[in-house]
Amino acid sequence: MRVKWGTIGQRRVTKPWRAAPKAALSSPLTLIVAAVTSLLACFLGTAAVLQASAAGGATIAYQSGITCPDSYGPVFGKGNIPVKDIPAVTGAVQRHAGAHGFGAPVVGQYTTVLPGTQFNGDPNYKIRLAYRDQAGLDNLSLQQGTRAPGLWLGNVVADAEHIGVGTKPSIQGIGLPPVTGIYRDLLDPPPRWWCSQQSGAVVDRLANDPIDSIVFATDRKTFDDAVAAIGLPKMQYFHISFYEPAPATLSAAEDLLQRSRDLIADVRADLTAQGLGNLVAADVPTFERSVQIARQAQDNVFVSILPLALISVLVGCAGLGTVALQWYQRRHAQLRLLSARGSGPGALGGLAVAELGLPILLGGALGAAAARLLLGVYGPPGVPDPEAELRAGVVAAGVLVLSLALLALVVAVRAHREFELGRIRREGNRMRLLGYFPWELATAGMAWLGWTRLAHYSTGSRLGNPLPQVDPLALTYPVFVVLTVGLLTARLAWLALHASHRARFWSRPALQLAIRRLAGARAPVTGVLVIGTLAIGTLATGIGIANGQEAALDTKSSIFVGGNARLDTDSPIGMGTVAMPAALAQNSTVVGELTGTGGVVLVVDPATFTKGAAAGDVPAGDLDGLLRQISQPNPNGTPVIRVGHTAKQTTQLPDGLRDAVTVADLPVFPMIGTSPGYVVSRTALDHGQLDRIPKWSVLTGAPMADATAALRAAGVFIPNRISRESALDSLPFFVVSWTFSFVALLGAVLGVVAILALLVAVEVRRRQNALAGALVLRMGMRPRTLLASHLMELGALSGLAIVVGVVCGVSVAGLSVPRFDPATFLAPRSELPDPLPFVLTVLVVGVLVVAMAGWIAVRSVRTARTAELIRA
Amino acid sequence: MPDKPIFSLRGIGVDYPTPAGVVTGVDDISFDVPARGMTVFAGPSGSGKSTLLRVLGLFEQPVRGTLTFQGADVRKLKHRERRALRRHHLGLVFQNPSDNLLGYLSVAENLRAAAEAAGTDCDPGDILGQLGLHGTGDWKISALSGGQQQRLAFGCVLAARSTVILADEPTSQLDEGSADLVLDTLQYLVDQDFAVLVASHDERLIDLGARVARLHKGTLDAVEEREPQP
Repeated sequence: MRVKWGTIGQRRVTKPWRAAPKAALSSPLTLIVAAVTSLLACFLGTAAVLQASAAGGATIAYQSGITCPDSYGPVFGKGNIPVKDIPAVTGAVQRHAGAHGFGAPVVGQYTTVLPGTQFNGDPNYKIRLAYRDQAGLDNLSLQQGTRAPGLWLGNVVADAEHIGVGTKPSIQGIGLPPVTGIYRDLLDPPPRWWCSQQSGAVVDRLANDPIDSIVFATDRKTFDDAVAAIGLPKMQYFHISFYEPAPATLSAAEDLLQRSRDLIADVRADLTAQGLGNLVAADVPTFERSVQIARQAQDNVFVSILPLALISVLVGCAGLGTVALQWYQRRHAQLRLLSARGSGPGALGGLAVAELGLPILLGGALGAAAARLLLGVYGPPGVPDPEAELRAGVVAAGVLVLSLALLALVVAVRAHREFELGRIRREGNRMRLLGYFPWELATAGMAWLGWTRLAHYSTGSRLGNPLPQVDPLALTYPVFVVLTVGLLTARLAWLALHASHRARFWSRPALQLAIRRLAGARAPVTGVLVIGTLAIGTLATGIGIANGQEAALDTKSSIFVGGNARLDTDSPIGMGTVAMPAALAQNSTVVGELTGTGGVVLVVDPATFTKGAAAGDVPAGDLDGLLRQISQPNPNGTPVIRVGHTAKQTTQLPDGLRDAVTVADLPVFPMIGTSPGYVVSRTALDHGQLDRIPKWSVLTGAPMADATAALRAAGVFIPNRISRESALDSLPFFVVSWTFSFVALLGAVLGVVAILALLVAVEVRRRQNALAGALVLRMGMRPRTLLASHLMELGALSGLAIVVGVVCGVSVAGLSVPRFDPATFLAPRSELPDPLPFVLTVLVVGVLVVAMAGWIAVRSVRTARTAELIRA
Repeated sequence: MPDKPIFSLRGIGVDYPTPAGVVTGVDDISFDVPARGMTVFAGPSGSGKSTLLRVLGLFEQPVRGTLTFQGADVRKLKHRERRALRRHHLGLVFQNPSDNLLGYLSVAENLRAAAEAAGTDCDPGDILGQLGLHGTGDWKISALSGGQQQRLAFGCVLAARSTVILADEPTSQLDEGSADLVLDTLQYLVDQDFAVLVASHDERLIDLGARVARLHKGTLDAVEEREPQP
């Protein structure tokens, strides 16, 4: 028969639980530690989600920037479309556009070349009649005339042939509307609004374009009437698109893409119903790919940072577990009392939550808010999806729930074991077994797996493929190496401290006391060491790799282009018959390029080269000296700087130049890169030799737009141009950089945790330190020696973390950066930026932390000397 | 006819795991605790007094022997039933006065909290009056002396209406004057027909006991039945 001992289980919230939040105020340090731990865990969990989403947003922004602005949505087009069918297509698009959230479609129509057009009585002009919605209003630059119905003629022909406003052209006797405006011709490359219309709206004079001018009708009626009057059966180019705002987020882009597909389907169905099913091609030509790329970039970043984010959240949870244990110790008497009064482990866990729940919730909310607000500081330059913000909130809530559950669980388990099971023998100790498990071997295995992927990483990247060539597993390699080293350091430190009782340095009491203090606090010492090592290691790795990729992108594009911008020109400016425009004189140079003997020969101007060209890693002063040397005549041949020398490189130079006499060797040079080549001074060449150089370019440090405007104003012809920003596809670099910027963020957060953990550990031991310090002072130790002893203890701990973290982090970053190079075909290979500033910063911070912790450790010794010893 | 024992111990043994191996805390303790009057566990430090009290307070599960409470085998109870037993029948008073009270509650609130825990109600003024702590209901715990705190701890047991009071060295942390007040309180509780079980080596307290169980190195040396000294 079971005996009832009264009510089983209490459902009421009794006084101690109701008063718990107020009781928590008795230990502000525990509250602060709990809040900060929760803040950091939620910050990292939230930041991981936001970082990945912002990477997607940044990719969309990047892709939007390199995509024509009317190509984000659907594009309908057809070459040589029958004129009679155009109204049906236009009408179908107009009918359905609104239903899918699109504005007014922009229709572009371009006739075939119309020879025999007469202006001012001359019937030999060849024009293309064109119309594009909104064109006359906003996107052409009107030089003369008005917006009255009529035709707008390009200024090149109008100025050259003195065709003015009011002229009435005709085609084979058919009158056209009068010229009501003269606009500035669209040059290649045209303004961004015209990007998709280049084949119809731009006269390519370089390609010997047969068209004299594109003549725009000011409105659709004028255009339609003119086409009807001429009797054209077909339109050469027909194009309908939408100028939608560039989507800021990946989800907005995906929504736009889906709406575009839906509109295309509806228009197709409509046209099919009219018997015009396959009349036009309809697609989302480039943006579909952009969305794929953004999705992949987001997924890559997310998968790459996921292990790290999980580890960091687990570290946060472990921190909260420690807080729970510390709270349990501090509230032990109260818990025992409540347990004696019949409270169960669950209720006692609930008491912990009641007491520490509020600071944990506040800290977590603050962490999540900080992660969102600071995203612009630490994350990719993109906008996260609203859904991602929601997911980040859910993650933060999940971390908080996990933290609170862990807090309750730790307290409940301890209370159950101590107050219900007592000291009965337990079979084995599973937690101890977990400690014996060689976790470092597991992480080393993961690192090895990542390394094998990393070894093939760069071979996967190739020119022309915009998809970031990223292997998420390879991206985790540096983190697992750091983790392995951190765990190994912890295990060795643990064993060393375990064996430290054998150390006998009583002749140096400061050292002996420092060792004993470290050994006495083996668990917190090992904890601080492993967190510190991880912090510095991940910080070094993250900063090194992220900065390395950004520097590589900068250097590669600079070397590839030769300067901030390169504008290919005709020979007058190369020969000096046209002077460099004044606006470019201070930051530009002219180079000539010869080929023909298997390598590039760059002809440079020694006086201006270092002003306009990007010299890469070669110091400008050194380069000036070398350029002076190759400017001196040499009786044995042409003095040259030899670049990227190989055994196959001959001394023979093209175009009748005398054989090369090498003055100096350089591994890399602007425009040449690391390929075999020579640099020749133009002063070493005579006029005839200069005249035979087929290609001249202006290298400038000025922005592309300024340089283009200045050279065009000087009448310099620019057949081709390239800027540093657009020279390379930056995305693969960015994806690596974004991933490792999160690693650096995690390192920074872990660093804060390590510093706080050290300071809190010292503060918690303050009374013990004070008593022990007072005792040894009474035994004759000098205060300075006592301080030195504490500095030795803290310095050894911090120093070991710094040395191991820096060596490991910098080595891993140094090994990884070249392998993460997504453009190995371009010189130079990515390399680790100078780690010295980072190392110095870490050292300074380390010294400051040790000094502060040392001060905390000894500050109470003097006051404790009498009173505390008596109490003890 | 003698009272039915409230606790009955038969061959009770408790072992502790230590880094040096298993240590026996108490061994082969057989003993009946009557339902009223004071029983004192006496003996030097390390004799097993506190361990035995932990067993009776259900904090420790014996590895050997049988413990019954009012005839029911305690080892067969589920954890929640053991908690219910503690809640409604056992009142524990620990050595350190401040460990028996919730420092962030006032004196009266402590009494109410103890009553609430047991699912009962109490009149703090009445209890404080019985303990000679008139007018301290609104005081903070820190305003009470050690002796007053320990008496208040016994007041909490009264508030919870426990049937058995288990006190571990209740006077060891007190000066002589304060200890006297606690002895008075214990006598008062005995007079109220509580079963009071005390572990102590305080001779004055031992003299109060109707039964004195002498422990030595974890075993029961002798049980003295005697007339308590006034």
